[in-house]
Amino acid sequence: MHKKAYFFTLDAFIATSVIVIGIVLINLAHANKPYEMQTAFLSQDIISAASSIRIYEISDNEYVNSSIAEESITNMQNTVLEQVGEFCYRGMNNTAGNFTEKVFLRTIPKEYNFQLLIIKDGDNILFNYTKGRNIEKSRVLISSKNIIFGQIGDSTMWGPYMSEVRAWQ
Amino acid sequence: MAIKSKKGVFFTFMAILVVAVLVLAFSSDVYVSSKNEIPVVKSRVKTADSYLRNLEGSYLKSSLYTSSYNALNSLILYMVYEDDFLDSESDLNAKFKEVVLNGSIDGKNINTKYNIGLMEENSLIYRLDKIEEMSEYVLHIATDFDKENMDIVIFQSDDTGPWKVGVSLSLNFSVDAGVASWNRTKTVSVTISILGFDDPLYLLKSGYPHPIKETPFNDTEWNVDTLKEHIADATYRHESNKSTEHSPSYLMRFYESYSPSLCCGIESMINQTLADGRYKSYVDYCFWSNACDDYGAWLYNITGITTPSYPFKLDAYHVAQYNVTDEATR
Repeated sequence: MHKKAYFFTLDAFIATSVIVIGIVLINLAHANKPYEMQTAFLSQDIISAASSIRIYEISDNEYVNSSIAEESITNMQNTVLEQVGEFCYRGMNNTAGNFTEKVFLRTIPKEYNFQLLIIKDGDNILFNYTKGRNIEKSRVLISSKNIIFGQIGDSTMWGPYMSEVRAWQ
Repeated sequence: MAIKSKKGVFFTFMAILVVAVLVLAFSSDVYVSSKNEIPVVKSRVKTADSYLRNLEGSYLKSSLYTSSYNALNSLILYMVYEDDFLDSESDLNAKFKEVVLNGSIDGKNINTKYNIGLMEENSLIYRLDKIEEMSEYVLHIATDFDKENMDIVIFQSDDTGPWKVGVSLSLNFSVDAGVASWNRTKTVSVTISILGFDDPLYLLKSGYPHPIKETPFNDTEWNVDTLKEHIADATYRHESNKSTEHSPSYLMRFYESYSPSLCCGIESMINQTLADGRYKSYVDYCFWSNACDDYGAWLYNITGITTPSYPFKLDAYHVAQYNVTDEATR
């Protein structure tokens, strides 16, 4: 009869151990998942910063400074994203690509990659900055979108265009 | 025997309890789903709020500014095409509103009817349609402007001063992001500099373009030399005094009103090209109307300016205003 009580005790401990080990294994599997929230924060931060930082605030950047001198950038009040949109409106897609690369690339952590997509009147203009794996092989991909528009002089308004930042690991 | 059997059952129940607690702790669907929804709702409201701020603070202003700027130029071209002034201030406002909103006058598209292409893809309705479409497509936010009940007024006042025109837009709209919605009644105002715009009075009376340029001289700096420069540079002057003999404002020139505008009157001098020998004061609105006929019995030649080929004259009021009394001869 004493053996029966020990049997139940042992049975309870074995069952509990199995459950605890199971939970630990599940948690370990979770720990190996890519950081979704960080990637989401990164894509939101990129689009948020690009929508609020104005050209005059980054005019100490060598590329921006030379673009101002060459008069390819004319409105210092433009935000970074508005400037990219304005380049696209003026058909200066290569300049828009270079500008995006020079302004953003150093600020993106090396384990992340990003794309900036501008959809202008149905045409997709893509700026791709991949340091690690390609977007097709990404483990986690987060996209943030915004609407951009701007004014050139007194009589011209461009947009609204869609801008989308895709960040992935 | 009975006591020992109960111990076994007790341990079994303990094990079941522990398992139940662990299962509940790690598999509560309700808890997990609500917890995950909070940042989604937060992010959605934040996106909608940011969109609304951008719409009100920037998009509507830029749209109204560029539409109004092009509409004002379109109205000038329309007047040249028709070779006629507008009827009145209310006619100016009605036509301006129609051009800004729809790019049309009396229901006719100004591009197809008058070949004035400035409002193509620049009318306010076009701009509002575009943002409605984009907000739905990009952000899945429904924006709906009440386009039937919009009002637009163009004006000049003490607030705008003589060198700018104000445009005020009143509209109702709603923004629906699913988790939150906004109903707004909004007044958007912009001011547009008139510098560089053609003066409709010159265009229709003489056929020559005469863009608005502000004189660099203030009321205390006038003499025969600054007056000569004023004529040569074709600049405009605003009187800052409180006299009742003021010139008409820029907007009044659209409907050929020569009444004085205390806040916003501007005037220039008729240059040699337009001088035709008529016995009139050479201040523009005096030259083309009877508004200055009671500004004194005589008109005066100005030594140093008046020549046989340029019979420049000023009325007594303007002789005093331009500080050329010593050079004035009958």
